[in-house]
Amino acid sequence: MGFSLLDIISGYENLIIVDSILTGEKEPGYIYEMKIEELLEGDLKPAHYAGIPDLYLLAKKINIPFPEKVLILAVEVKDPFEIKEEFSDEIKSKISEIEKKVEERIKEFLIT
Amino acid sequence: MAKKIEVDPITRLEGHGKIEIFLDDKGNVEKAYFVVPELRGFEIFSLGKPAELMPQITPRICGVCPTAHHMASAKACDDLFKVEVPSAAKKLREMFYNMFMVEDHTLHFYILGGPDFIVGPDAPKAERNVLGVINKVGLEIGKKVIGIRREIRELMTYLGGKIIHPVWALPGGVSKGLTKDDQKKFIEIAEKSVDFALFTLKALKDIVLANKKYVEVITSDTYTHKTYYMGLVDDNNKVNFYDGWIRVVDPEGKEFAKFKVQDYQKYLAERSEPWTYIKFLYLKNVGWKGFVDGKDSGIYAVAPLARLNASDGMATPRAQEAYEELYSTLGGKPVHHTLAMHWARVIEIIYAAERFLELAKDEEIASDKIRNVPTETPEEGFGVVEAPRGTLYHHYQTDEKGLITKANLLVATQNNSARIAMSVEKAAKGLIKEGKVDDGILNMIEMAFRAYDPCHACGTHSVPGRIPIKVTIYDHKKEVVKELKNI
Repeated sequence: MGFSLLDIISGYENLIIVDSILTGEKEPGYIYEMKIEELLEGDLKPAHYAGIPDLYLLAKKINIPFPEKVLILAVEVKDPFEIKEEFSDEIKSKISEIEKKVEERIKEFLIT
Repeated sequence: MAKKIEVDPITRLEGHGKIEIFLDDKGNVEKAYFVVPELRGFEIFSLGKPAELMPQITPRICGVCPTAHHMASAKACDDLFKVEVPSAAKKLREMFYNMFMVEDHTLHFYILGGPDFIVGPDAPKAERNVLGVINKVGLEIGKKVIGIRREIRELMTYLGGKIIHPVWALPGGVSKGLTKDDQKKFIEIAEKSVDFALFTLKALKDIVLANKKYVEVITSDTYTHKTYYMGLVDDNNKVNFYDGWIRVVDPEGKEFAKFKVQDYQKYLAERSEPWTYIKFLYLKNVGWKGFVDGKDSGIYAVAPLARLNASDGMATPRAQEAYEELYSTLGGKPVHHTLAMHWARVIEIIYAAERFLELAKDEEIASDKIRNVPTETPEEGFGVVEAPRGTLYHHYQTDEKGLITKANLLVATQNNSARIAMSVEKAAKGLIKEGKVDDGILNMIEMAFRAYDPCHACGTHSVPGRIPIKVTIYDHKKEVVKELKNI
Protein backbone atom coordinates (compact mmCIF):
# COMPACT_ATOMS: atom_id res chain seq x y z
CA MET A 1 0.00 0.00 0.00
CA GLY A 2 2.96 2.28 0.52
CA PHE A 3 2.08 5.93 0.96
CA SER A 4 -1.65 5.33 0.82
CA LEU A 5 -1.45 3.80 4.28
CA LEU A 6 -0.89 7.30 5.61
CA ASP A 7 -4.42 8.32 4.57
CA ILE A 8 -5.79 5.43 6.58
CA ILE A 9 -3.79 5.74 9.80
CA SER A 10 -3.57 9.50 10.08
CA GLY A 11 -5.73 10.94 12.86
CA TYR A 12 -5.78 7.84 15.06
CA GLU A 13 -4.20 7.79 18.54
CA ASN A 14 -3.08 4.18 18.48
CA LEU A 15 -1.73 2.13 15.59
CA ILE A 16 -1.56 -1.66 15.79
CA ILE A 17 -0.05 -3.56 12.88
CA VAL A 18 -0.15 -7.34 12.75
CA ASP A 19 1.71 -8.76 9.76
CA SER A 20 3.76 -11.75 8.68
CA ILE A 21 7.54 -11.87 8.43
CA LEU A 22 10.14 -14.29 7.16
CA THR A 23 13.47 -14.05 8.95
CA GLY A 24 14.35 -17.73 8.88
CA GLU A 25 15.73 -17.32 12.39
CA LYS A 26 12.72 -18.47 14.45
CA GLU A 27 10.13 -21.25 14.25
CA PRO A 28 6.95 -20.44 12.30
CA GLY A 29 4.47 -18.87 14.71
CA TYR A 30 7.05 -16.90 16.68
CA ILE A 31 5.77 -13.38 17.31
CA TYR A 32 8.19 -10.49 16.94
CA GLU A 33 7.43 -7.13 18.48
CA MET A 34 8.98 -4.06 16.90
CA LYS A 35 9.12 -0.36 17.59
CA ILE A 36 9.18 2.38 14.97
CA GLU A 37 12.53 3.56 16.33
CA GLU A 38 14.03 0.12 15.69
CA LEU A 39 12.74 0.12 12.13
CA LEU A 40 14.22 3.54 11.51
CA GLU A 41 17.61 2.22 12.54
CA GLY A 42 17.29 -1.15 10.82
CA ASP A 43 18.12 -2.32 7.36
CA LEU A 44 14.65 -3.45 6.31
CA LYS A 45 13.91 -2.97 2.64
CA PRO A 46 10.15 -2.78 2.09
CA ALA A 47 8.87 -4.05 -1.26
CA HIS A 48 6.85 -0.94 -1.95
CA TYR A 49 9.56 1.48 -0.98
CA ALA A 50 7.42 3.33 1.53
CA GLY A 51 7.22 1.35 4.73
CA ILE A 52 6.02 2.45 8.14
CA PRO A 53 9.30 4.27 8.93
CA ASP A 54 9.03 6.26 5.69
CA LEU A 55 5.44 7.18 6.48
CA TYR A 56 6.45 8.21 9.99
CA LEU A 57 9.21 10.50 8.68
CA LEU A 58 6.97 11.94 5.96
CA ALA A 59 4.16 12.64 8.44
CA LYS A 60 6.56 14.39 10.79
CA LYS A 61 8.00 16.40 7.91
CA ILE A 62 4.70 17.79 6.66
CA ASN A 63 2.87 17.84 9.99
CA ILE A 64 0.36 15.10 9.26
CA PRO A 65 -1.00 13.65 12.55
CA PHE A 66 0.62 10.25 13.12
CA PRO A 67 -0.55 7.87 15.90
CA GLU A 68 1.31 8.56 19.13
CA LYS A 69 1.43 4.91 20.18
CA VAL A 70 2.46 2.23 17.71
CA LEU A 71 2.53 -1.54 18.20
CA ILE A 72 3.98 -3.71 15.43
CA LEU A 73 3.62 -7.48 15.73
CA ALA A 74 5.06 -9.75 13.06
CA VAL A 75 4.40 -13.47 12.97
CA GLU A 76 7.20 -15.64 11.56
CA VAL A 77 5.83 -17.68 8.64
CA LYS A 78 7.15 -20.71 6.83
CA ASP A 79 6.64 -19.85 3.17
CA PRO A 80 5.22 -16.54 1.97
CA PHE A 81 6.01 -17.34 -1.66
CA GLU A 82 3.59 -20.15 -2.46
CA ILE A 83 0.18 -18.69 -3.26
CA LYS A 84 -2.61 -20.57 -1.52
CA GLU A 85 -5.70 -19.91 0.53
CA GLU A 86 -4.62 -21.64 3.74
CA PHE A 87 -1.84 -21.31 6.30
CA SER A 88 1.08 -23.74 6.32
CA ASP A 89 0.61 -26.79 8.58
CA GLU A 90 3.02 -25.28 11.10
CA ILE A 91 0.99 -22.07 11.43
CA LYS A 92 -2.34 -23.89 11.22
CA SER A 93 -1.47 -26.02 14.25
CA LYS A 94 -0.57 -22.94 16.30
CA ILE A 95 -3.16 -20.47 15.05
CA SER A 96 -5.28 -20.43 18.26
CA GLU A 97 -2.18 -19.89 20.35
CA ILE A 98 -0.98 -17.09 18.05
CA GLU A 99 -4.39 -15.40 18.10
CA LYS A 100 -4.47 -15.56 21.91
CA LYS A 101 -0.99 -14.08 22.29
CA VAL A 102 -1.70 -11.28 19.82
CA GLU A 103 -5.00 -10.48 21.52
CA GLU A 104 -3.36 -10.35 24.97
CA ARG A 105 -0.58 -8.10 23.74
CA ILE A 106 -3.05 -5.72 22.12
CA LYS A 107 -5.04 -5.51 25.38
CA GLU A 108 -1.87 -4.72 27.36
CA PHE A 109 -0.87 -2.14 24.77
CA LEU A 110 -4.19 -0.35 24.92
CA ILE A 111 -4.23 -0.26 28.74
CA THR A 112 -0.70 1.10 29.24
CA MET B 1 38.68 -11.64 -14.83
CA ALA B 2 35.25 -10.07 -15.00
CA LYS B 3 34.13 -7.99 -12.05
CA LYS B 4 30.51 -8.20 -10.99
CA ILE B 5 28.51 -5.22 -9.74
CA GLU B 6 25.17 -5.93 -8.18
CA VAL B 7 22.39 -3.49 -7.33
CA ASP B 8 20.01 -5.46 -5.14
CA PRO B 9 17.31 -4.58 -4.47
CA ILE B 10 16.79 -1.74 -6.87
CA THR B 11 14.73 0.97 -5.26
CA ARG B 12 11.61 2.98 -5.95
CA LEU B 13 9.66 0.61 -8.15
CA GLU B 14 6.63 -1.44 -7.33
CA GLY B 15 7.76 -4.97 -6.59
CA HIS B 16 11.23 -6.49 -6.55
CA GLY B 17 14.05 -6.62 -9.06
CA LYS B 18 17.79 -6.98 -9.35
CA ILE B 19 20.38 -5.69 -11.78
CA GLU B 20 23.60 -7.59 -12.42
CA ILE B 21 26.40 -6.00 -14.37
CA PHE B 22 29.43 -7.88 -15.62
CA LEU B 23 32.57 -5.93 -16.48
CA ASP B 24 35.31 -7.06 -18.84
CA ASP B 25 39.06 -6.92 -18.12
CA LYS B 26 39.15 -3.23 -19.07
CA GLY B 27 36.38 -2.36 -16.62
CA ASN B 28 33.78 -1.72 -19.30
CA VAL B 29 30.37 -3.37 -19.28
CA GLU B 30 30.30 -6.70 -21.04
CA LYS B 31 26.74 -7.64 -20.11
CA ALA B 32 24.01 -6.33 -17.84
CA TYR B 33 20.91 -8.19 -16.71
CA PHE B 34 17.68 -6.89 -15.23
CA VAL B 35 16.59 -9.81 -13.10
CA VAL B 36 13.08 -10.24 -11.74
CA PRO B 37 13.18 -12.81 -8.96
CA GLU B 38 9.64 -12.48 -7.59
CA LEU B 39 6.41 -14.03 -8.80
CA ARG B 40 2.68 -14.05 -8.59
CA GLY B 41 0.86 -17.21 -9.57
CA PHE B 42 -2.64 -15.85 -9.93
CA GLU B 43 -3.38 -17.66 -13.18
CA ILE B 44 -3.10 -20.98 -11.34
CA PHE B 45 -4.62 -19.66 -8.16
CA SER B 46 -7.74 -18.59 -10.11
CA LEU B 47 -8.54 -22.06 -11.49
CA GLY B 48 -11.85 -23.40 -10.25
CA LYS B 49 -12.98 -20.05 -8.86
CA PRO B 50 -16.31 -18.52 -9.94
CA ALA B 51 -15.54 -16.03 -12.72
CA GLU B 52 -17.54 -13.27 -11.02
CA LEU B 53 -15.01 -13.39 -8.15
CA MET B 54 -12.14 -12.45 -10.48
CA PRO B 55 -12.70 -8.66 -10.14
CA GLN B 56 -12.21 -9.18 -6.39
CA ILE B 57 -9.38 -11.73 -6.59
CA THR B 58 -7.11 -10.13 -9.18
CA PRO B 59 -6.71 -6.72 -7.47
CA ARG B 60 -4.78 -8.69 -4.81
CA ILE B 61 -2.02 -9.03 -7.40
CA CYS B 62 -0.84 -5.54 -6.54
CA GLY B 63 -1.65 -3.06 -3.80
CA VAL B 64 -0.48 -0.19 -5.99
CA CYS B 65 -2.60 -0.68 -9.10
CA PRO B 66 -5.54 -2.83 -7.92
CA THR B 67 -7.99 -0.62 -9.82
CA ALA B 68 -6.42 -1.60 -13.14
CA HIS B 69 -6.86 -5.31 -12.42
CA HIS B 70 -10.35 -4.73 -10.99
CA MET B 71 -11.46 -2.96 -14.15
CA ALA B 72 -9.74 -5.25 -16.68
CA SER B 73 -11.29 -8.19 -14.86
CA ALA B 74 -14.78 -6.67 -14.76
CA LYS B 75 -14.55 -5.97 -18.50
CA ALA B 76 -13.43 -9.56 -19.15
CA CYS B 77 -16.46 -10.70 -17.14
CA ASP B 78 -18.81 -8.45 -19.19
CA ASP B 79 -17.48 -10.20 -22.28
CA LEU B 80 -17.58 -13.62 -20.65
CA PHE B 81 -21.22 -13.29 -19.59
CA LYS B 82 -22.10 -11.53 -22.88
CA VAL B 83 -23.74 -8.63 -21.06
CA GLU B 84 -23.94 -5.02 -22.22
CA VAL B 85 -22.98 -2.45 -19.57
CA PRO B 86 -25.51 0.44 -19.30
CA SER B 87 -24.23 3.76 -20.59
CA ALA B 88 -24.26 5.44 -17.14
CA ALA B 89 -22.26 2.55 -15.65
CA LYS B 90 -19.68 2.82 -18.46
CA LYS B 91 -19.30 6.52 -17.67
CA LEU B 92 -19.01 5.81 -13.94
CA ARG B 93 -16.34 3.18 -14.56
CA GLU B 94 -14.39 5.47 -16.87
CA MET B 95 -14.59 8.34 -14.37
CA PHE B 96 -13.43 6.09 -11.52
CA TYR B 97 -10.59 4.85 -13.71
CA ASN B 98 -9.42 8.34 -14.62
CA MET B 99 -9.46 9.31 -10.93
CA PHE B 100 -7.17 6.36 -10.32
CA MET B 101 -4.84 7.45 -13.14
CA VAL B 102 -4.52 10.94 -11.65
CA GLU B 103 -3.58 9.71 -8.19
CA ASP B 104 -1.35 6.86 -9.35
CA HIS B 105 0.61 8.92 -11.88
CA THR B 106 0.99 11.63 -9.24
CA LEU B 107 2.56 9.07 -6.90
CA HIS B 108 5.10 8.19 -9.56
CA PHE B 109 5.92 11.71 -10.70
CA TYR B 110 6.53 13.14 -7.25
CA ILE B 111 7.54 10.15 -5.16
CA LEU B 112 8.90 7.22 -7.17
CA GLY B 113 10.42 8.76 -10.31
CA GLY B 114 10.43 12.39 -9.22
CA PRO B 115 13.47 12.23 -6.97
CA ASP B 116 15.66 11.46 -10.01
CA PHE B 117 15.03 14.87 -11.53
CA ILE B 118 13.53 17.00 -8.77
CA VAL B 119 16.37 16.16 -6.38
CA GLY B 120 18.85 15.35 -9.13
CA PRO B 121 20.18 12.21 -10.85
CA ASP B 122 23.53 12.33 -9.06
CA ALA B 123 22.35 13.66 -5.69
CA PRO B 124 23.41 11.65 -2.61
CA LYS B 125 21.33 8.52 -2.16
CA ALA B 126 20.06 9.66 1.24
CA GLU B 127 18.39 12.65 -0.43
CA ARG B 128 16.86 10.85 -3.42
CA ASN B 129 13.51 10.15 -1.79
CA VAL B 130 10.24 11.85 -0.97
CA LEU B 131 11.79 13.83 1.87
CA GLY B 132 14.42 15.10 -0.57
CA VAL B 133 11.65 16.10 -2.99
CA ILE B 134 9.86 18.03 -0.23
CA ASN B 135 13.11 19.73 0.79
CA LYS B 136 13.50 20.84 -2.83
CA VAL B 137 9.94 21.90 -3.70
CA GLY B 138 8.81 23.06 -0.26
CA LEU B 139 6.42 21.85 2.41
CA GLU B 140 3.32 23.41 0.87
CA ILE B 141 3.75 21.53 -2.40
CA GLY B 142 4.39 18.33 -0.46
CA LYS B 143 1.11 18.86 1.38
CA LYS B 144 -0.64 19.59 -1.91
CA VAL B 145 0.52 16.26 -3.40
CA ILE B 146 -0.54 14.27 -0.36
CA GLY B 147 -3.79 16.27 -0.13
CA ILE B 148 -5.06 15.82 -3.70
CA ARG B 149 -4.31 12.11 -3.63
CA ARG B 150 -6.18 11.74 -0.36
CA GLU B 151 -9.24 13.63 -1.65
CA ILE B 152 -9.42 11.56 -4.83
CA ARG B 153 -8.94 8.32 -2.94
CA GLU B 154 -11.66 9.21 -0.45
CA LEU B 155 -14.14 9.57 -3.31
CA MET B 156 -12.91 6.33 -4.86
CA THR B 157 -13.43 4.62 -1.50
CA TYR B 158 -16.98 6.04 -1.35
CA LEU B 159 -17.81 4.50 -4.73
CA GLY B 160 -15.58 1.44 -4.71
CA GLY B 161 -16.20 0.34 -1.12
CA LYS B 162 -12.46 -0.10 -0.55
CA ILE B 163 -9.61 1.78 -2.13
CA ILE B 164 -7.05 -1.01 -2.20
CA HIS B 165 -9.30 -3.82 -3.32
CA PRO B 166 -12.46 -2.27 -4.78
CA VAL B 167 -15.71 -4.26 -4.64
CA TRP B 168 -17.56 -2.16 -7.15
CA ALA B 169 -17.40 -3.16 -10.83
CA LEU B 170 -19.52 -6.26 -11.53
CA PRO B 171 -20.28 -8.20 -14.71
CA GLY B 172 -22.79 -5.94 -16.42
CA GLY B 173 -22.14 -2.70 -14.52
CA VAL B 174 -21.35 -1.38 -11.05
CA SER B 175 -22.76 -1.91 -7.58
CA LYS B 176 -23.17 1.74 -6.60
CA GLY B 177 -24.05 4.89 -8.51
CA LEU B 178 -23.93 8.61 -7.85
CA THR B 179 -26.70 10.84 -6.53
CA LYS B 180 -27.03 14.44 -7.71
CA ASP B 181 -25.58 15.56 -4.36
CA ASP B 182 -22.61 13.20 -4.74
CA GLN B 183 -22.05 14.60 -8.20
CA LYS B 184 -21.33 18.09 -6.81
CA LYS B 185 -18.51 16.75 -4.64
CA PHE B 186 -17.03 14.82 -7.56
CA ILE B 187 -17.11 17.94 -9.75
CA GLU B 188 -15.39 19.96 -6.99
CA ILE B 189 -12.53 17.46 -6.65
CA ALA B 190 -12.28 17.05 -10.43
CA GLU B 191 -11.80 20.82 -10.81
CA LYS B 192 -9.08 20.71 -8.15
CA SER B 193 -7.48 17.79 -9.99
CA VAL B 194 -7.30 19.77 -13.24
CA ASP B 195 -5.66 22.70 -11.39
CA PHE B 196 -3.24 20.31 -9.73
CA ALA B 197 -2.39 18.63 -13.06
CA LEU B 198 -1.61 21.98 -14.68
CA PHE B 199 0.46 22.94 -11.64
CA THR B 200 2.40 19.68 -12.05
CA LEU B 201 3.13 20.50 -15.71
CA LYS B 202 4.47 23.88 -14.58
CA ALA B 203 6.64 22.15 -11.94
CA LEU B 204 8.00 19.80 -14.63
CA LYS B 205 8.85 22.75 -16.87
CA ASP B 206 10.40 24.84 -14.08
CA ILE B 207 12.42 22.12 -12.40
CA VAL B 208 13.24 19.65 -15.17
CA LEU B 209 12.81 21.15 -18.64
CA ALA B 210 14.40 24.48 -17.70
CA ASN B 211 17.55 22.63 -16.62
CA LYS B 212 19.75 22.22 -19.72
CA LYS B 213 21.75 19.43 -18.10
CA TYR B 214 18.62 17.40 -17.37
CA VAL B 215 17.31 17.87 -20.92
CA GLU B 216 20.65 16.63 -22.29
CA VAL B 217 20.32 13.52 -20.11
CA ILE B 218 16.71 12.95 -21.23
CA THR B 219 17.56 13.21 -24.93
CA SER B 220 20.89 11.38 -24.76
CA ASP B 221 21.48 8.21 -26.75
CA THR B 222 22.11 6.35 -23.48
CA TYR B 223 18.36 6.53 -22.76
CA THR B 224 17.04 6.06 -26.32
CA HIS B 225 15.55 3.01 -28.09
CA LYS B 226 13.73 2.91 -31.39
CA THR B 227 10.99 0.34 -30.89
CA TYR B 228 7.33 -0.24 -31.69
CA TYR B 229 4.75 1.39 -29.37
CA MET B 230 1.35 0.19 -28.14
CA GLY B 231 -1.61 1.93 -26.53
CA LEU B 232 -5.38 1.93 -26.26
CA VAL B 233 -7.13 4.53 -28.47
CA ASP B 234 -10.73 5.58 -29.12
CA ASP B 235 -12.41 5.62 -32.55
CA ASN B 236 -10.55 8.87 -33.36
CA ASN B 237 -7.19 7.37 -32.38
CA LYS B 238 -7.06 9.53 -29.23
CA VAL B 239 -5.62 8.11 -26.00
CA ASN B 240 -8.20 6.33 -23.85
CA PHE B 241 -7.38 4.49 -20.61
CA TYR B 242 -10.65 2.58 -20.16
CA ASP B 243 -11.67 1.22 -23.56
CA GLY B 244 -11.12 1.19 -27.30
CA TRP B 245 -8.75 -0.26 -29.89
CA ILE B 246 -5.25 -1.55 -29.20
CA ARG B 247 -3.09 0.36 -31.65
CA VAL B 248 0.55 -0.36 -32.46
CA VAL B 249 2.83 1.99 -34.39
CA ASP B 250 6.25 1.14 -35.80
CA PRO B 251 9.51 2.96 -34.89
CA GLU B 252 8.72 5.54 -37.58
CA GLY B 253 5.28 6.23 -36.10
CA LYS B 254 3.31 4.47 -38.83
CA GLU B 255 0.30 2.37 -37.83
CA PHE B 256 1.36 -1.29 -37.74
CA ALA B 257 -1.72 -2.88 -36.18
CA LYS B 258 -5.07 -1.96 -34.69
CA PHE B 259 -7.16 -4.62 -33.06
CA LYS B 260 -9.74 -5.47 -30.40
CA VAL B 261 -8.68 -7.31 -27.26
CA GLN B 262 -10.40 -10.51 -28.47
CA ASP B 263 -7.68 -10.76 -31.14
CA TYR B 264 -4.65 -10.19 -28.90
CA GLN B 265 -3.28 -13.70 -29.46
CA LYS B 266 -2.97 -13.03 -33.21
CA TYR B 267 -0.59 -10.17 -32.50
CA LEU B 268 1.32 -10.97 -29.31
CA ALA B 269 3.65 -13.77 -28.27
CA GLU B 270 5.60 -14.49 -25.06
CA ARG B 271 9.08 -15.90 -24.52
CA SER B 272 11.13 -16.82 -21.46
CA GLU B 273 14.80 -16.26 -20.64
CA PRO B 274 16.75 -18.42 -18.20
CA TRP B 275 17.95 -15.48 -16.07
CA THR B 276 14.62 -14.00 -15.00
CA TYR B 277 11.08 -15.09 -14.09
CA ILE B 278 9.37 -12.39 -16.13
CA LYS B 279 8.11 -13.34 -19.59
CA PHE B 280 8.96 -11.12 -22.53
CA LEU B 281 6.11 -10.09 -24.82
CA TYR B 282 6.82 -9.24 -28.46
CA LEU B 283 4.91 -8.67 -31.70
CA LYS B 284 4.28 -12.06 -33.27
CA ASN B 285 4.10 -10.73 -36.82
CA VAL B 286 7.53 -9.09 -36.57
CA GLY B 287 9.17 -11.86 -34.54
CA TRP B 288 11.74 -12.17 -31.78
CA LYS B 289 15.22 -11.10 -32.91
CA GLY B 290 16.84 -10.84 -29.48
CA PHE B 291 17.28 -7.77 -27.33
CA VAL B 292 17.64 -5.31 -30.19
CA ASP B 293 15.59 -2.34 -31.31
CA GLY B 294 14.56 -1.28 -34.82
CA LYS B 295 11.80 -2.11 -37.26
CA ASP B 296 12.84 -5.75 -37.68
CA SER B 297 12.62 -6.50 -33.95
CA GLY B 298 9.24 -7.31 -32.40
CA ILE B 299 10.09 -5.55 -29.14
CA TYR B 300 7.60 -2.84 -28.26
CA ALA B 301 6.88 -0.44 -25.43
CA VAL B 302 3.76 0.51 -23.49
CA ALA B 303 2.97 3.07 -20.75
CA PRO B 304 2.73 6.90 -21.02
CA LEU B 305 5.19 7.76 -23.80
CA ALA B 306 4.20 4.68 -25.81
CA ARG B 307 0.51 5.58 -25.45
CA LEU B 308 1.17 9.07 -26.76
CA ASN B 309 3.31 7.71 -29.60
CA ALA B 310 0.62 5.16 -30.54
CA SER B 311 -2.14 7.78 -30.64
CA ASP B 312 -3.03 10.78 -32.81
CA GLY B 313 -3.53 13.01 -29.78
CA MET B 314 -5.43 13.59 -26.55
CA ALA B 315 -9.22 13.93 -26.36
CA THR B 316 -9.20 16.91 -23.96
CA PRO B 317 -8.00 20.46 -24.72
CA ARG B 318 -5.28 21.18 -22.14
CA ALA B 319 -3.78 17.69 -22.52
CA GLN B 320 -3.77 18.15 -26.32
CA GLU B 321 -1.86 21.44 -25.92
CA ALA B 322 0.71 19.73 -23.72
CA TYR B 323 0.91 16.79 -26.16
CA GLU B 324 1.69 19.13 -29.06
CA GLU B 325 4.31 20.95 -27.00
CA LEU B 326 6.11 17.69 -26.16
CA TYR B 327 6.40 16.63 -29.79
CA SER B 328 7.31 20.07 -31.10
CA THR B 329 10.04 20.35 -28.46
CA LEU B 330 11.48 16.87 -28.95
CA GLY B 331 11.47 16.86 -32.76
CA GLY B 332 8.17 15.21 -33.74
CA LYS B 333 6.64 11.75 -33.46
CA PRO B 334 7.49 9.23 -32.28
CA VAL B 335 9.73 10.24 -29.38
CA HIS B 336 12.14 7.42 -28.51
CA HIS B 337 13.73 8.90 -25.36
CA THR B 338 12.82 6.69 -22.42
CA LEU B 339 13.16 9.49 -19.88
CA ALA B 340 10.60 11.59 -21.76
CA MET B 341 8.19 9.11 -20.17
CA HIS B 342 8.04 11.42 -17.14
CA TRP B 343 6.84 14.29 -19.33
CA ALA B 344 4.31 12.03 -21.05
CA ARG B 345 3.09 10.91 -17.63
CA VAL B 346 2.34 14.50 -16.65
CA ILE B 347 0.40 14.99 -19.90
CA GLU B 348 -1.63 11.93 -18.99
CA ILE B 349 -2.34 13.37 -15.53
CA ILE B 350 -3.83 16.40 -17.30
CA TYR B 351 -5.92 14.24 -19.62
CA ALA B 352 -7.14 12.02 -16.76
CA ALA B 353 -8.11 15.06 -14.66
CA GLU B 354 -9.92 16.74 -17.56
CA ARG B 355 -11.76 13.52 -18.45
CA PHE B 356 -12.65 13.06 -14.75
CA LEU B 357 -14.22 16.53 -14.83
CA GLU B 358 -16.07 15.95 -18.11
CA LEU B 359 -17.60 12.74 -16.80
CA ALA B 360 -18.37 14.15 -13.34
CA LYS B 361 -20.40 16.90 -15.06
CA ASP B 362 -22.22 14.47 -17.36
CA GLU B 363 -26.00 14.51 -16.67
CA GLU B 364 -26.34 10.78 -17.26
CA ILE B 365 -23.72 9.80 -14.68
CA ALA B 366 -26.23 10.20 -11.83
CA SER B 367 -28.68 7.79 -13.51
CA ASP B 368 -29.87 4.83 -11.43
CA LYS B 369 -29.58 2.44 -14.39
CA ILE B 370 -26.16 1.11 -13.51
CA ARG B 371 -26.31 -2.63 -14.13
CA ASN B 372 -27.70 -5.27 -16.46
CA VAL B 373 -27.82 -8.64 -14.72
CA PRO B 374 -26.13 -11.37 -16.82
CA THR B 375 -28.33 -14.19 -18.06
CA GLU B 376 -26.14 -15.94 -20.66
CA THR B 377 -23.99 -19.03 -20.07
CA PRO B 378 -20.34 -17.98 -19.85
CA GLU B 379 -17.60 -19.46 -22.01
CA GLU B 380 -14.74 -17.10 -22.84
CA GLY B 381 -14.11 -13.42 -22.08
CA PHE B 382 -11.47 -10.77 -22.74
CA GLY B 383 -10.83 -7.44 -21.04
CA VAL B 384 -8.29 -4.69 -21.54
CA VAL B 385 -7.46 -1.36 -19.91
CA GLU B 386 -4.47 0.92 -19.89
CA ALA B 387 -2.88 0.46 -16.46
CA PRO B 388 -0.65 3.39 -15.45
CA ARG B 389 2.25 1.10 -16.37
CA GLY B 390 0.83 0.00 -19.73
CA THR B 391 -1.68 -2.21 -21.50
CA LEU B 392 -3.24 -4.84 -19.23
CA TYR B 393 -5.01 -7.90 -20.66
CA HIS B 394 -7.29 -10.34 -18.79
CA HIS B 395 -8.50 -13.45 -20.62
CA TYR B 396 -10.70 -16.10 -18.97
CA GLN B 397 -12.29 -19.37 -20.02
CA THR B 398 -14.90 -21.14 -17.90
CA ASP B 399 -17.01 -24.26 -17.78
CA GLU B 400 -20.78 -23.98 -18.16
CA LYS B 401 -21.12 -23.19 -14.44
CA GLY B 402 -18.83 -20.18 -14.80
CA LEU B 403 -15.87 -21.73 -12.96
CA ILE B 404 -12.50 -20.63 -14.33
CA THR B 405 -10.78 -23.31 -16.41
CA LYS B 406 -8.09 -21.02 -17.85
CA ALA B 407 -6.86 -17.55 -16.99
CA ASN B 408 -4.22 -15.61 -18.86
CA LEU B 409 -3.05 -12.24 -17.60
CA LEU B 410 -0.69 -10.16 -19.71
CA VAL B 411 0.33 -7.45 -17.32
CA ALA B 412 1.62 -4.01 -18.15
CA THR B 413 5.24 -4.53 -17.20
CA GLN B 414 5.51 -7.71 -19.30
CA ASN B 415 4.89 -5.62 -22.43
CA ASN B 416 7.79 -3.40 -21.47
CA SER B 417 10.09 -6.06 -20.08
CA ALA B 418 12.29 -6.54 -23.19
CA ARG B 419 12.73 -2.81 -23.69
CA ILE B 420 13.49 -2.36 -19.98
CA ALA B 421 16.19 -5.03 -20.20
CA MET B 422 17.70 -3.23 -23.21
CA SER B 423 17.44 0.14 -21.48
CA VAL B 424 19.29 -1.08 -18.40
CA GLU B 425 22.09 -2.64 -20.46
CA LYS B 426 22.45 0.39 -22.72
CA ALA B 427 22.55 2.76 -19.75
CA ALA B 428 25.16 0.60 -18.03
CA LYS B 429 27.31 0.48 -21.16
CA GLY B 430 26.97 4.23 -21.68
CA LEU B 431 27.71 5.24 -18.12
CA ILE B 432 30.30 2.84 -16.71
CA LYS B 433 33.74 3.35 -18.25
CA GLU B 434 37.07 1.82 -17.18
CA GLY B 435 35.59 0.46 -13.98
CA LYS B 436 34.58 3.85 -12.63
CA VAL B 437 31.32 3.36 -10.79
CA ASP B 438 29.83 5.45 -8.02
CA ASP B 439 26.44 5.71 -6.40
CA GLY B 440 25.31 8.47 -8.77
CA ILE B 441 26.14 6.37 -11.85
CA LEU B 442 24.32 3.36 -10.44
CA ASN B 443 21.28 5.57 -9.82
CA MET B 444 21.41 6.79 -13.41
CA ILE B 445 21.32 3.17 -14.53
CA GLU B 446 18.34 2.57 -12.26
CA MET B 447 16.68 5.62 -13.83
CA ALA B 448 16.59 3.70 -17.09
CA PHE B 449 14.03 1.27 -15.72
CA ARG B 450 12.35 3.55 -13.18
CA ALA B 451 10.97 5.77 -15.96
CA TYR B 452 8.76 2.86 -17.03
CA ASP B 453 7.22 2.71 -13.51
CA PRO B 454 7.56 -1.08 -13.63
CA CYS B 455 5.61 -3.34 -11.31
CA HIS B 456 7.11 -6.78 -11.01
CA ALA B 457 4.86 -8.01 -8.27
CA CYS B 458 2.33 -8.73 -11.01
CA GLY B 459 4.76 -9.07 -13.89
CA THR B 460 6.12 -12.48 -12.99
CA HIS B 461 4.79 -15.98 -13.48
CA SER B 462 5.29 -19.55 -12.42
CA VAL B 463 3.29 -22.47 -13.72
CA PRO B 464 3.28 -24.52 -10.48
CA GLY B 465 2.45 -21.39 -8.49
CA ARG B 466 5.68 -21.28 -6.51
CA ILE B 467 9.13 -19.91 -7.13
CA PRO B 468 10.98 -22.35 -9.37
CA ILE B 469 14.53 -22.74 -8.11
CA LYS B 470 17.27 -24.56 -9.91
CA VAL B 471 20.75 -24.53 -8.44
CA THR B 472 23.58 -25.79 -10.61
CA ILE B 473 27.04 -26.09 -9.11
CA TYR B 474 30.07 -26.12 -11.47
CA ASP B 475 33.67 -26.91 -10.70
CA HIS B 476 36.68 -24.95 -11.94
CA LYS B 477 36.46 -26.77 -15.28
CA LYS B 478 32.86 -25.58 -15.60
CA GLU B 479 31.58 -29.13 -15.31
CA VAL B 480 28.35 -29.74 -13.39
CA VAL B 481 29.01 -31.49 -10.11
CA LYS B 482 25.59 -31.09 -8.51
CA GLU B 483 22.13 -29.93 -9.49
CA LEU B 484 19.28 -29.07 -7.11
CA LYS B 485 15.77 -28.17 -8.22
CA ASN B 486 12.22 -27.97 -6.85
CA ILE B 487 10.32 -28.07 -10.15
